[in-house]
Amino acid sequence: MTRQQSGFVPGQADSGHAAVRSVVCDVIAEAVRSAQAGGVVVLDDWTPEGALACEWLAGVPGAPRVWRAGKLASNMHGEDVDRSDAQLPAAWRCAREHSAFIAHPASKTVLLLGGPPPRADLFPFGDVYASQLEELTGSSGLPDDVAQLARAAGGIGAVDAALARLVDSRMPAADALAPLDAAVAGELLRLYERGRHFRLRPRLIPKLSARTLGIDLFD
Amino acid sequence: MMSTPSAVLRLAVVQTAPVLREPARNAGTIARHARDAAADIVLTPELSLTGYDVGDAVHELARDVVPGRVFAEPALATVPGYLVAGCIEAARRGPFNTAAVLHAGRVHFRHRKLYLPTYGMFDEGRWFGRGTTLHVWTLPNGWRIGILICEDFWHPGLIYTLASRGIDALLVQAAAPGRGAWEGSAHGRFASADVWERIARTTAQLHGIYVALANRTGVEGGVTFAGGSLVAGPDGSLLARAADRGEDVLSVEMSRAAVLASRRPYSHERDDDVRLVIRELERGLAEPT
Repeated sequence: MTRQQSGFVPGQADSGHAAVRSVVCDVIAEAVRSAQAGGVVVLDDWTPEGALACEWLAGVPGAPRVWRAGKLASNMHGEDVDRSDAQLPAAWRCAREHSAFIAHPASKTVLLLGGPPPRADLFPFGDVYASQLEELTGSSGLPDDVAQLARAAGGIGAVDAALARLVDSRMPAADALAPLDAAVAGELLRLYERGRHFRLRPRLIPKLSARTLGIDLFD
Repeated sequence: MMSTPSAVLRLAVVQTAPVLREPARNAGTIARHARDAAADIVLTPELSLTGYDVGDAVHELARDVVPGRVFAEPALATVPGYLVAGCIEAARRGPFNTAAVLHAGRVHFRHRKLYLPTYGMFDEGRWFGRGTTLHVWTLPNGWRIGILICEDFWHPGLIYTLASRGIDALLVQAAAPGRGAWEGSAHGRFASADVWERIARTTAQLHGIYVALANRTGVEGGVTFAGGSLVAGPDGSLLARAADRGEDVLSVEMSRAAVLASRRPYSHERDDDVRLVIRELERGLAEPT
């Protein structure tokens, strides 16, 4: 996993982002309420986006109970454990014990290009592109091959812009990717095709954009 | 001789967050707001009695909507004036996504949704039958009202058809999801809410009519409904706008004088030639595509 730095100061997001926050929090809170779930276990909670998910969910009026999977793993195995490996069994155990949902803070960019995503019920930021998530947290996590693609494209913003044309605006691939170098465009398409199975499997993602995985039809 | 419409009509737009598949509870909420508003007409959102994504509960939730007959939701009989409720209509070729106009608990008028969105996140064609007719609702006091449901409003041919029959006001029920939270965040609302407002105000000004939009709020699954119900005056001005989240009630006095005044600076309505439009549409239909 590679981190993209934007120089943005965490916690200083534009107050206009309150709309995004309210949608994300309302959807998660309603999911917990309607399923009578015990709360939410957040995976990758040590990342900025994971921490943001925990912070936002904790701030919801009548907030659902939130567990941090990394912290659960550390409690189970000691501080020297590799949390990325140990968090899943810890999260599943907690979810089973408390009838809780498991949430992962992956961005829309990661869900579209990152290959098989973690097994989670909720993706609070699944309709937020990585470059947008950077605005909220100062950085966002990318799988190594997506980070490499971003570097080749001149930044994650260029990748996200291409994805927005391809996915949200439904432009033909040739037009959507035209601003990119041919090799970069080819790699982006390869990564996009790799995620097809996930796009076809519905998950709960708060709808923020024109076209949302798990809600709108995808091919 | 046609009766002269009364000078003023009090409209209340009740924006609610319907609880999915709980019509009695939703009827109670609507009735409470409607009694407080004490308006001549109370407009509620699309499927305001059942919630939007009812899935295969559609048959179980369907009600008879037959003009003159009692509507089977007792709480609504307590609403003063006319209530435009959003319901699922049980019918031989249905069920339909229907706006039911109720008065003292009885069905007075109905509009069945004509355009059922079945693309992207929408799946209405799977659950509902499609309406086939478009009527004007004429009140005893002479006001002529058009009713459309959500996607209907995005088909200008329907608006034109109603306007050509001399409506004074267009009432629109909606369950419009929010899209573009990021793009619209400068205003703290969805970008899609701005689109609805532009269409409503433009429609009002083009035809010199009131346009009232009742959009629902709340959450179903991953979808957040965008609220922002509104009333546009016949000059295109924004008379009232509800909150983007949560229940809200708008109260507006619609004035016959304002309708007439909005048409004086222009002659669009006077000069509009429906026969020309029909001729050209038919010619277009006859042309090879």
